[in-house]
Amino acid sequence: MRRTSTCIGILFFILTDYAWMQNTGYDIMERALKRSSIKTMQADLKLVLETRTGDTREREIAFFSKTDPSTDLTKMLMKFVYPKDVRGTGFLTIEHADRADDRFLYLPALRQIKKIANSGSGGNFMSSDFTYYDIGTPELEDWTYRLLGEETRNRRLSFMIEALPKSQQVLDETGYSKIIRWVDQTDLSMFHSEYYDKSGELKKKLDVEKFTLINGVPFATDMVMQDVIIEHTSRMTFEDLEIDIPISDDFFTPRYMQREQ
Amino acid sequence: MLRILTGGLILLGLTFSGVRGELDIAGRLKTFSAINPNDVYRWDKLYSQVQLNFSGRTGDRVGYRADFVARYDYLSDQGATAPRSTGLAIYPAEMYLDYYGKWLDVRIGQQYLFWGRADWVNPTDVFNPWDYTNMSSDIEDYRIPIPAVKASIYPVWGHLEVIYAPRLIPDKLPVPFSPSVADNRLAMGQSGVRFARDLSIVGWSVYGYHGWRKKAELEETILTSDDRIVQVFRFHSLDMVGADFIFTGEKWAFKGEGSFNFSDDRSGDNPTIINDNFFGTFGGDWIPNDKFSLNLQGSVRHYFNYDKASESQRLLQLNLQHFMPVYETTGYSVSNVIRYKVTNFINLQSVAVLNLADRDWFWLPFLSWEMADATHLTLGGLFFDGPTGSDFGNSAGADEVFLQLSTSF
Repeated sequence: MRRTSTCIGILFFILTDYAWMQNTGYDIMERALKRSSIKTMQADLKLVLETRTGDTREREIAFFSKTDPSTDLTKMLMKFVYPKDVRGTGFLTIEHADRADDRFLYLPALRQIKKIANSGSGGNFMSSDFTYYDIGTPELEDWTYRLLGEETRNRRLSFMIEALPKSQQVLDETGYSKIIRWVDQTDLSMFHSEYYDKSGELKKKLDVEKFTLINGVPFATDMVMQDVIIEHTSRMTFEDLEIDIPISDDFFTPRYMQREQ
Repeated sequence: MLRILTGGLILLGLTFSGVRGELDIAGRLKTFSAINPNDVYRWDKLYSQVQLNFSGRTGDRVGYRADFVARYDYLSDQGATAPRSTGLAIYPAEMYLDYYGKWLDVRIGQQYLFWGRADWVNPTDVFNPWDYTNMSSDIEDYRIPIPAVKASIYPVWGHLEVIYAPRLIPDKLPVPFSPSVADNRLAMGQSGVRFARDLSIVGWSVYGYHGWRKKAELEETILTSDDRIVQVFRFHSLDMVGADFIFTGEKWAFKGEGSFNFSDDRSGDNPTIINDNFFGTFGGDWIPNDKFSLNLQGSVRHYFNYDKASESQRLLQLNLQHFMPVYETTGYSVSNVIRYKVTNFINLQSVAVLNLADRDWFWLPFLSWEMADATHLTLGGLFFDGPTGSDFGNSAGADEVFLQLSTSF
């Protein structure tokens, strides 16, 4: 009887401690992701792609986004500025809650706006190592979180949080069976992440090398994504970043995509 | 020459008038070479070309663009496939002014007007003529811009486009002569209207067009008293009504496009004029990931009031049997476009069309390597085959393997 009570007590302690760790992981992520709500954003986005042999390519994109605070749905317009052969190419994404995103592509070479299917949020963004999911705000409720512990990394005391997809759909759409995030304990910035593919192998690592304070919240403005399997690296930097400036909804329409620069 | 001078003067005026606003100057330099694989010791095409683009805005309401092309052709080939002259040719490409209003945009000038949501085979794409002497992977090479006014109206419930092009510019054909347009009066103009709407996962458009077929048709051959053969060509009218649609989802899209084309031979009695016909295409895109995409389409063309046997007989009576193609009443074809990203900087594309009746086909594969920012090396080929008299069979022997180096600045 006494041994049984002790076992029940130990089991109860383990389960509640495990439950505490899970909630803590979720709580931390919730605080990290919901610190600020950016309504509009305008920036010059620079991408530098580097292969394992040291070959580099640069991309420069004028980036605009607008999020409806009531629905949390985002419209995003990107226009290529560099390289010159794709200058003027426009890419418009309009999120929907109940169906696939609308995507429009304006190709100056074809003088046409095309409504296109998309390869999903797991598709690579502009041929870089970032996927569309990586550059968007992670969906909090799509993942189960567990606090793995604490670690000092890059001289930052951080929480290590494991995120597992809640459903097969999330796994299929993102391509990630697991993400481990390092969250700074001081300002809750996610400065390092590791992404695991569907087979459980480490696929990519993300390091945020610079944060810019916007409305008191650190915003990642210089990020490096490394694909450890193909040994390819992409650096994404945001310059001339402006937040919450007035941008008309008309701007995020196919009509505006084909106007001269 | 007049158009070049006019475009240049407008540009100079904008530059020095202080109203140019934000002028952007860009350009593209390319060298294109092609050999016929049936005769590898002879260059089929060899030219260098620079295109300069001047574009910009003056304030929020006005935009402009002027493109000039300077091309030096290293060869002179008066063969049946490619009449051209050596030396330098300078000509304007697109040249237009834009006005952006609250609900109305207007574009006036020389421009491209592409209709249709399908890929490669577009039954409603009737405005801009084709340059069959200049086929490459660049649309500016094989399509010809035309002078036109385009008004785009944006009510809340859709997009209405009204176009008027005052002149007929015909297709440029790889034959030793080109029929000239009888006159360029406004009677040879083209007009069209398009209404488009994107609703949820469906986008659709309807079209109306009144204008002209871009290929002249041989009306009669005359043997003169001094034993010369004189061929009389005429451009015939074309009225088109059409529609297209697209359904998009995650990783897939279904699209279709069709047109009813009406000629000025409504009863179908004149064998020298293409009969009224329906031309439609249906297919879809599958994009499983960002490395690979596949487009498959099936097309059908049906000729009304058409009987192949009696048509052939009438052509024989007119002694035109060697000059006019004879079609199947209903013809089917399939096409596909495959895109594959071999590496981050190397892309492979393949376009193929197969006509099912005659089993004649066309294939355009090309590999493009981004050697550096904005610099591409493209290796590809144009291949045709099929029985004599078929659409692509008539081009058999005009195969090309081409190499293109281009850089944008």
